[in-house]
Amino acid sequence: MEVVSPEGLRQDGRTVSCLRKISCRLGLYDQPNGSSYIEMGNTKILAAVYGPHEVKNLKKQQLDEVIIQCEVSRIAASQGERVKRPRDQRTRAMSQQIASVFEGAIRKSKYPGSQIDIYIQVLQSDGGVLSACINASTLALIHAGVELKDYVASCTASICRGEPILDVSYVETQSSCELTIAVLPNKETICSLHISNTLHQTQLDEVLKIAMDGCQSVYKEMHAVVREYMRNQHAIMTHV
Amino acid sequence: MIRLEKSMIFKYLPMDIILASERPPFSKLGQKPGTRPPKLVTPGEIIDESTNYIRGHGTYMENGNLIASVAGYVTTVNKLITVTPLRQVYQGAVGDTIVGRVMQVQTSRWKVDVNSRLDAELRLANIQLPGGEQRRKDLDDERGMRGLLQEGDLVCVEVQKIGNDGLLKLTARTSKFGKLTQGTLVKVSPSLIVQDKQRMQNLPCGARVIFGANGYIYITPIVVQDVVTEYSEDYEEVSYDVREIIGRLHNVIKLLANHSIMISRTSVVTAYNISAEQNVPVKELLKPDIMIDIALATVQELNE
Repeated sequence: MEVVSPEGLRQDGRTVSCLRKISCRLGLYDQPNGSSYIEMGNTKILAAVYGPHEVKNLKKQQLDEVIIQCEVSRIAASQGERVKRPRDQRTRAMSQQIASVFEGAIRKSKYPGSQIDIYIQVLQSDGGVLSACINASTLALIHAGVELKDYVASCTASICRGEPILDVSYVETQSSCELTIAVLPNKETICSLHISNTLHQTQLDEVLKIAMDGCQSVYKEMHAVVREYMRNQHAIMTHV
Repeated sequence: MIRLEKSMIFKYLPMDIILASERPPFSKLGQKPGTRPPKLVTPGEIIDESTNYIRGHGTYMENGNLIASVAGYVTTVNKLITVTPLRQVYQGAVGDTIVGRVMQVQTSRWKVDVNSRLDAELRLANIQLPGGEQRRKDLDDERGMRGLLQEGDLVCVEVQKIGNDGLLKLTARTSKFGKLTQGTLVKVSPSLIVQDKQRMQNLPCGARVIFGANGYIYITPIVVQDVVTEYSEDYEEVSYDVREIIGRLHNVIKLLANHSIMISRTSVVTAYNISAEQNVPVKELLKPDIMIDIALATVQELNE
């Protein structure tokens, strides 16, 4: 099975440097402090942020900064095979990765002694789940009004026969590696990098470059949605 | 809109179901005429490149640039620049009247949830005893703390001071503060509450509203103000008319918050009157299309 056809197109008709369609929404629920929904192609994620609030487990409390807790769960029909448990080893590992990404992005010293909870639900997974989760959490944190240094935009990339490809779907990850990076787009720094399967050292640079460019496009999409949301809401807020 | 009546599940409850796709779009309620559109920023965006500003909430300094750390609108007071987000937790300011819920009873203090990043602290020494008695609190008072305030009770308090770590220390030393009985709590974002000296208001429609600065709004029936603070439960029946007024006020405040209209005595009274004039039943006020109508009418009237 060819990942990239001789004409340079992929199975879903994209070119090698083309992202899947991104659509996102802020503010789905009233109960959590912030919530968001993101679709990156067929990958669909819901995120909710609670806090900063009082620490539940006093043993974990840090007196000079905030602790970030993350929990990812998958619904049973989220992928090809039925998921038996909503939370397992894999989602726990992913939760920790996401929490550590935001360790670098949230201004932790602003909330000493508190806790921020991020709850993520994977509704459908089709490659790039981790990056979609990170993007969804960013939007939910922004909606909650948590102080962030910058957005965290995340994207995946891979390589196929020496040619780097952007934003891989599940089928495309089967035959090669999947590199997920999270960047602070305004500062152009990487705050997390994760590779599944092997990637040759000499190929890392070009894959990284295409992924960085992808993150900037993801950032633009998210930024537009946040601005639109604010424009609708804040116009009235400054009244009275 | 699909109207299910006497369906299998909800045999006795006729209910309205609306598809998400049929939901009316969030209307742009527009700008107040004659005002400049607010400057909106998102995290990571540079607000100003000069350093002769003082950084306030929601901003930070990096490489000589003033950068926003929350998504919101920029306000400049002289040289102080702050960014106010739409939703946030309560920051706390000394002297604010706030409403909170008792979460824990500890030794000689209560932990109160006030929508801030830490639960606030209300010391036994800082409350007025029932009957307005003035004396030092002893061990017996400490043992009877749960008799005064239990977990889940609502209190109206004032912020006395803010500790080093941002812990809010509360006080309820005068008769207007203390335990709240018989009423409804509405939670909104604290950034929607208008700064006002008078936080407890008797509205002309016949209810008393406490606009807690922390975004907790409490609606009670108007009572003849007793001078002494009571910490007992009040089980007296509230008449249907008053309950309806409270319910309407509750839904009206929810509606205003939903459309991010600043909540103050004027806006609440205006929206209440509009909804009452149009004879909208109280429960209908929670329907998205009716919410938009009332919000639009309120904004229009406020602008005039």
